[in-house]
Amino acid sequence: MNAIVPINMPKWGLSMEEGTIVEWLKPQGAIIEEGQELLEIETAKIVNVAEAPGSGVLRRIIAEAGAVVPVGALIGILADADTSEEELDDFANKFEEFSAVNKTEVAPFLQLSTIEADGRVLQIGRAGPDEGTPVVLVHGWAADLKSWQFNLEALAKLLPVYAIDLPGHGGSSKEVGDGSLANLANALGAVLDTLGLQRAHLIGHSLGGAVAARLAADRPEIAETLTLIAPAHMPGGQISDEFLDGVISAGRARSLKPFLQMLVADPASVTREMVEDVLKYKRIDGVDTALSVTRDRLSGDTDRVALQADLAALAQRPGGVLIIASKSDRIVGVPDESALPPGFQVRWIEAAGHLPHLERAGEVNAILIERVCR
Amino acid sequence: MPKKTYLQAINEAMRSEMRRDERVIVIGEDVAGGQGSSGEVGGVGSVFGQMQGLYKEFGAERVIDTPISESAIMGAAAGAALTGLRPVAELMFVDFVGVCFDQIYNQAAKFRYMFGGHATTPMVIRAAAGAGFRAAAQHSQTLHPLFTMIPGLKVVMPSNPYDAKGLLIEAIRDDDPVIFLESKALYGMEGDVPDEAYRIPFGEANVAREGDDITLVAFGAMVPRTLAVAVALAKHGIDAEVIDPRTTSPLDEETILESIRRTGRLVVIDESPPRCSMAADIAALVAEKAFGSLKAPILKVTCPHTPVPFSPVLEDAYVPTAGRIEEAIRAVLAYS
Repeated sequence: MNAIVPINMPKWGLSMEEGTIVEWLKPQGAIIEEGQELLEIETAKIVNVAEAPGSGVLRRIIAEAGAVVPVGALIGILADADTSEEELDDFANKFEEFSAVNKTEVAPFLQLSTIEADGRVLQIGRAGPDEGTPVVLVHGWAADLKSWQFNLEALAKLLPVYAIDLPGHGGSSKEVGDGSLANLANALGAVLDTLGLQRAHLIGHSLGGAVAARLAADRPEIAETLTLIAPAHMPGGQISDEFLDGVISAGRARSLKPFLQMLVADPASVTREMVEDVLKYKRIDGVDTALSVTRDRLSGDTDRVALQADLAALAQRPGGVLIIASKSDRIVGVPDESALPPGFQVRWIEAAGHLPHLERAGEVNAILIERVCR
Repeated sequence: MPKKTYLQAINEAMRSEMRRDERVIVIGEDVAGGQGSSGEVGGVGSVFGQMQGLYKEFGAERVIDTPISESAIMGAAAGAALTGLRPVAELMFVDFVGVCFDQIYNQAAKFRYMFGGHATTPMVIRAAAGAGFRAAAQHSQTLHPLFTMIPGLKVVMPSNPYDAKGLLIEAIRDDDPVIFLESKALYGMEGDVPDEAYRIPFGEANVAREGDDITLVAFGAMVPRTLAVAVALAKHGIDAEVIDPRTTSPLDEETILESIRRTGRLVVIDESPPRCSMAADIAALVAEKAFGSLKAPILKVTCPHTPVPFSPVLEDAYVPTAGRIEEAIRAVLAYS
């Protein structure tokens, strides 16, 4: 039998359950090279182009334009020109039987649960295998663990992954105490202790980067590696008060959007759903206080000065500290490489703003994988 | 995010606010679910189960079953609000407002104004509204225009489960009388609803769909219906913006006007007879404040000027249908 390649509805991001076929860019019968743009799919969040998963002739288009299809379903078949129609029918039928049998067993990719740590209820997302040094992901200010949606799958193929909702954020309790880095780092450490993780690859973004660095400085034995994506409080950096104040004070989608657009290089990439998600978060009881308290600490000097004083010690760690940053970051500014102690390494991401792990996910994932698998 | 129905979202908002603030009480017919009858007390809680379980958790002190006297319910609630409680009064069907309207429009709505700001009336009146249930002319009306025209009342029309919870919490924490109109047609609607308490401010429209060709303004149960039409028309190259004002009073005029300045075209979809409706109100607003932006006459899709019919065939034709909404959109777009 010749090679038959199924074309499935892809899963783009954590919340995607189904997609709509907008248009097939190639007609049935076309000869397709692996990686060629094959069709457009619309999700609740975006319209994107799906690429061919293999090479061959586009023998069957199973889901036509306009069809709404669950993630994983068979939408088309690639095969050699001489594969018989019977073989294709057989393949499609077997695929259907297989999905019908397995449908109930498909677990959500990211298992969400809450734990009590440091006197607070905190939400964690868990993915990947049981074996290996775990990767712990710490999101930024006013974000949550969903901000790792484009990185989780790549990392979870290799290692156990834990994405944490910081206090005051996501599904965690909204109590942030004094909102200091030490307070948040304590909570992060308590989560790791409660989960029984003695050592982990710490990856933090923005405020979460500073929190991860604070924890690694306070408890050096806990961090197997330390990777900071667009971290707050680096020498040369400057946190944008305009952004912090704007996010806190904007009550409507229209007024919030321009501030969220400061996060990215391409303003068009800020979708309505992204704005709505932040608004929904801001409406929850206690969030206003949590954001204001952490804002005051972020724009104050105390935490920054204390963290910068510990950078030299962090640089001595085996493997040093890896920073992934962009030169057009309008939220935390651009770290000054020359002011960082030796042992810090900076990887610059082009065409990204403050969210390189979302904007240039493929590139950042490759760097992260290299880092945690070394 | 957990999926919940509109009905569950309302129940959850009540429960969460009653736990948070002991001044919040419930008063109405059958809200305790059979208290005083031979049936199980606290079993149902309101005719559609909106208040289910509240009597069991909060007891007879805070979940008060009343005789069938709407004017007593509304009068007691208004008085309780003046003395510092935060009552949530239930009007089983909004159609029954006639017998207690004095307590609402001439008493509760006037207290803050007539006492020179020294009194507040933090009461919520919840009521089931709308047609589609074969419940005939006296149990099927929406009546939101009646409340919207009274200064001193705030009027809320949630169109989905997420909004229902956030707007009811906001209503309970608001210091003025709020009319909270629950759409009977939406009680079974499912959507993402956070477990935590959250508030959606009044007077902030939700742009349920963004588009540049035409603006569709719809209320309550007409929002999901209009949205479905807009999504279907997108496949034919018609890019409609759907605005759900969420509250008819206060009204988010700016979101509507900003949209019209972009699209130049307006259809208003309102489950209400046409005269003095929200459809008429929005049409007047746009004609007055954005006339220069209009590229076509405004069309209203409303019920006819008749009582709600009991005949199922007629009732289905009475409420704005997807077909009538699409027809109006196409007519406005075809105008030149």
